[in-house]
Amino acid sequence: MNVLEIRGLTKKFGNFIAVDNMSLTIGEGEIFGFLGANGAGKSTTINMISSLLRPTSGEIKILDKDIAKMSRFAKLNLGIVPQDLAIYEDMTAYENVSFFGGLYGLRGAELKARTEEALEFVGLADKVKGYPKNFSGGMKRRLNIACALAHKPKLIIMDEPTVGIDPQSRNYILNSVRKLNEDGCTIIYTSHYMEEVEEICSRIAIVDHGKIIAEGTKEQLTATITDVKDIRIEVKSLVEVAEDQLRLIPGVRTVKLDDHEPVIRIHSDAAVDNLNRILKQLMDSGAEIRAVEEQEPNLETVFLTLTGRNLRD
Amino acid sequence: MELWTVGNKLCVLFFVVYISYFGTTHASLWLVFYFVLYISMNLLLHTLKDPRVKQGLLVCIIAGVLAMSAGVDIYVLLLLPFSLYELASFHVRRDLLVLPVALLPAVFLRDFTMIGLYLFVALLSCCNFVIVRHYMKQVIQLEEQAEVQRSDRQRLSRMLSENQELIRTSEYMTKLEERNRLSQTIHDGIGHAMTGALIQMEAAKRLLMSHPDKAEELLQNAIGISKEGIEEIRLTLKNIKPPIEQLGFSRLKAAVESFGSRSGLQTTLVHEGDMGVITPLQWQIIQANVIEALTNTAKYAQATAVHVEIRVLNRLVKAVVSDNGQGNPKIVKGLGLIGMEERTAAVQGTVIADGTSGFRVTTLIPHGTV
Amino acid sequence: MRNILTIAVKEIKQDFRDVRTLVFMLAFPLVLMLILGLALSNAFTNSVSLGEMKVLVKNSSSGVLSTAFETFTGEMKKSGIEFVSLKSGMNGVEEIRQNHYASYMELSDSGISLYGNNRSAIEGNVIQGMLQAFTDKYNAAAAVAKIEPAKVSQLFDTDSQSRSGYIKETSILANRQPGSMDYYALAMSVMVGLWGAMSAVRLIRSEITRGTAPRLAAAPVRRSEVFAGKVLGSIVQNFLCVLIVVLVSKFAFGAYWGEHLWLALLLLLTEVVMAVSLGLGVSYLFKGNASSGLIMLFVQLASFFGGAYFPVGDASGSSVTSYITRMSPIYWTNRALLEMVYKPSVSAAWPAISLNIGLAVLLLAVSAVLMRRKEGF
Repeated sequence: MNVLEIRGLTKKFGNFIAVDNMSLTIGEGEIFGFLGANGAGKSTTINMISSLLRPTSGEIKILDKDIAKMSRFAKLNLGIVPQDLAIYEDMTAYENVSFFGGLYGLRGAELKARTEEALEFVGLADKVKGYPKNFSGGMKRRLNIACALAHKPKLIIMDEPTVGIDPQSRNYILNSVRKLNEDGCTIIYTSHYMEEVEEICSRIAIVDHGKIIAEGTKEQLTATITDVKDIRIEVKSLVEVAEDQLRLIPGVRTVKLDDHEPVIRIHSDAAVDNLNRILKQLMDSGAEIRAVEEQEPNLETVFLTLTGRNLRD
Repeated sequence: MELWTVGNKLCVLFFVVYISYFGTTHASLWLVFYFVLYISMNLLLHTLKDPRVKQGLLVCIIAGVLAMSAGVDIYVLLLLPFSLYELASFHVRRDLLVLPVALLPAVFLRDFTMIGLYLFVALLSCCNFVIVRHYMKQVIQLEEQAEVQRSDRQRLSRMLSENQELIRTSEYMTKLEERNRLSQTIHDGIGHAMTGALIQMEAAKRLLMSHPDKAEELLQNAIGISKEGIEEIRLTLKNIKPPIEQLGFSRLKAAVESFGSRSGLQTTLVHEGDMGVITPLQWQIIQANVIEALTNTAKYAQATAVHVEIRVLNRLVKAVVSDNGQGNPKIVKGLGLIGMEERTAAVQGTVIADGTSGFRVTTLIPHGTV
Repeated sequence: MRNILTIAVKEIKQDFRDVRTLVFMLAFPLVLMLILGLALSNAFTNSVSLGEMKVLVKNSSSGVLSTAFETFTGEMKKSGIEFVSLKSGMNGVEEIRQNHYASYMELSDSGISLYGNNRSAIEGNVIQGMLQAFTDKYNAAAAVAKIEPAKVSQLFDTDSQSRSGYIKETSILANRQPGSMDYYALAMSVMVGLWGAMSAVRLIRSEITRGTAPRLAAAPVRRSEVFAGKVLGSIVQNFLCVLIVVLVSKFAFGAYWGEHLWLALLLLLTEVVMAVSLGLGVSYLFKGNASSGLIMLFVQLASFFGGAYFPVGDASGSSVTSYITRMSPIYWTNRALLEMVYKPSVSAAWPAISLNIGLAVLLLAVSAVLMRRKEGF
């Protein structure tokens, strides 16, 4: 059973089409990334899944329960971490998590236990009685996540969870995401930070103008535009370089020795992991390696190639 | 709409008749005459079509009502609101504006009960009137939409069958052309070679006894020619790539250039990558999308230059039409754009329309790797 | 159902943690009550204390009239009005001009002439009234004497049991009247009740500005449950504030709340419900900050015209001000409370209660309808 199924989802604000006939399936255990520029329709899609907005047309199913018809059941398995902090500044961290947990049917001892678990998970166990107005940005974001965890949802949506926080908190959050996934949670992760999406997402959809223009693993996405990677190796001298030997290495397509500088340029299959062998081959033939650069197209390049625009404009 | 007012009017009419018949000491003959007249005028009203005649009739009805209520029986005034609403429906946009007009006669009434009755009838019927009109409008709208969708669907199924037809034709054409080329090459090259070699060998056979060295020379020639022939066959078989990959592109080029000269816009066309992987169907789609985008640019963009590029990426073909016009941050999807999306969706592709800096329409079509 | 309670409890917790607003809501009315109650006590007393009144008399009457007058003055002395004979050399008018006496009268067989001065106007009125009573009785006696002289004595019977007397004590208003502290206790409690509208305006919007609306939308609670919980919480919190004000005014300041405190509290509760509904309704009818401003304005105007700061009496006239006054929720609740406590009339509370409840139902319905039309909250 798929954790999330979207079919023909459309959202219009008057004449403006924010989400355009989007269809998507997310299976269990994935960390699914939504990548796109601001205004591409990521947040609108998220808001429709979390029932804040009503779709103009289309259907959304969580664990095979249509959220329009069986909204209560569908929502019990959903946790959201919105982009704007959704916490009450005038209640303690504990009260925040406990309140929201209570809305999901948790009571008494169970609620208490789950609340403490959630706070411990995000590393706020020692701040349970603290008020968010005294927290740092990173801590607030962690509380924002904790509020989504008490009821142990099967699907968690995180909308730009790391915007504007320090690198340490960001790492913590990314690790938490991984850990949640290991514990059996499916995660939808939207961001316009390509590095994060590349790092933790198992599958990624690139969104632009309300449509998914490309979808797949990171390798599949980069493969759409090219299956070649560029390797640039700077050596002390080109004399020891055995070109023919290099060409024989699996995956290598072309080897070019630069005319003016002691630089070797190699085009190789992106899918083949052969950097080690190339370097070994060079070292075996006596070359002294100064610098190595491997350029594979990243998701930002993919986005740019497909749409003609930058992710961050 | 009509049916409802008729029902309503009948109800009130019955009430008025009842009141005036049983309420007064003797039934006035004028009243009976008037009721008959009222019924027939309203029937006429509902059967006629011409709005102006209808309005004229309504004015008469209203005048009649006023006269009768002033002169004979005040209860006849209860029939006034409906006719007022009907008359107003020809002119007024906001339905509720009718209400004050309908309530106005109440000011001239004296009797407490009468005022109450009149207000009741006026308000109740106004309610129904407004609501029924509202729903009628919706129904009409929905019907129109359904009609539009029906014609769209027809158009699209027609396009679809045209596409399928085109695929078959172009596949067949490709085969024919290939065969043609093949036969031509074989005829031109190999045919001559084999004939030449045969002649040499026949001559060699004749001279085998009498002039052995001459025969050897001739045989050597024949071997040489045969070798060349075999080599040519091999090459021919290897170079199956027909120049047809240029076929799709040159058609596009021609179309873009003709557009440029017609519209006066400066056009540029760029291609990158192996055009050969693009199937004829995909070319057809790219062509149609590019022409559509160019037409839109000419019509709306107020640009001076438009740029077309076709790039074959590893798994996708990308066709982009971009102009230097004013663009539009929020693009409204017109029929042209919808058409592009639909035809591209037929090959699992997608279209992105962006208006942040000039218009830029990108068509992405997946292709199988070579 | 439980969700409604959870949300209501959260709402109350949050409200009571907002110390600044809470202090304002409690301190302002209590302080105002103290100040106005103590400072304006004079304006509320209906009793005027008149000291001894002195009347200067020039008596040139004779016979029966003279006797009757003597009896009269004798009795008057018991009630504190002293009739002093004019001594030779005194100018009566001059004496009262100098306010040595409250009035000056000249009694002759043909009648009484009475002179008063402006400074002793009240006393003068009292004296005039007394003399009028005397005159009437004397004239009646004279008339009787002409016909049946024997019965005259009955008119002047000084027997205390059947005494009709010249002075009969009757109260115009049999009831208790509110003192200034009593009045302001009522008025301030009513005002605090209406203040509920000001916090209610932000009730739903606060979830949106705090960013928690998406989380509430994603949770398996219906919007109606959130709505109901928040309304309930707001009503409870506001009513608690009102209750505190009432109790402090009663037990600390000694204000009089009548025999049926429970009814007064019920009335105030309905007012709070109405106020919350009003705030909510306005927040749905008007967008953004306009609604807060509007409610603020309305509450202040209603307080001013409705009698929160000074009594406005009965506004049943048809002038513009009385019309405005009648529109103020403070006016009708205040009025109902006053009648209930001081008339005392239990039934006076019911019209106000039904009006409040009716308005509340209407406004809540409007809010509910408008909320359903919107997306999210």
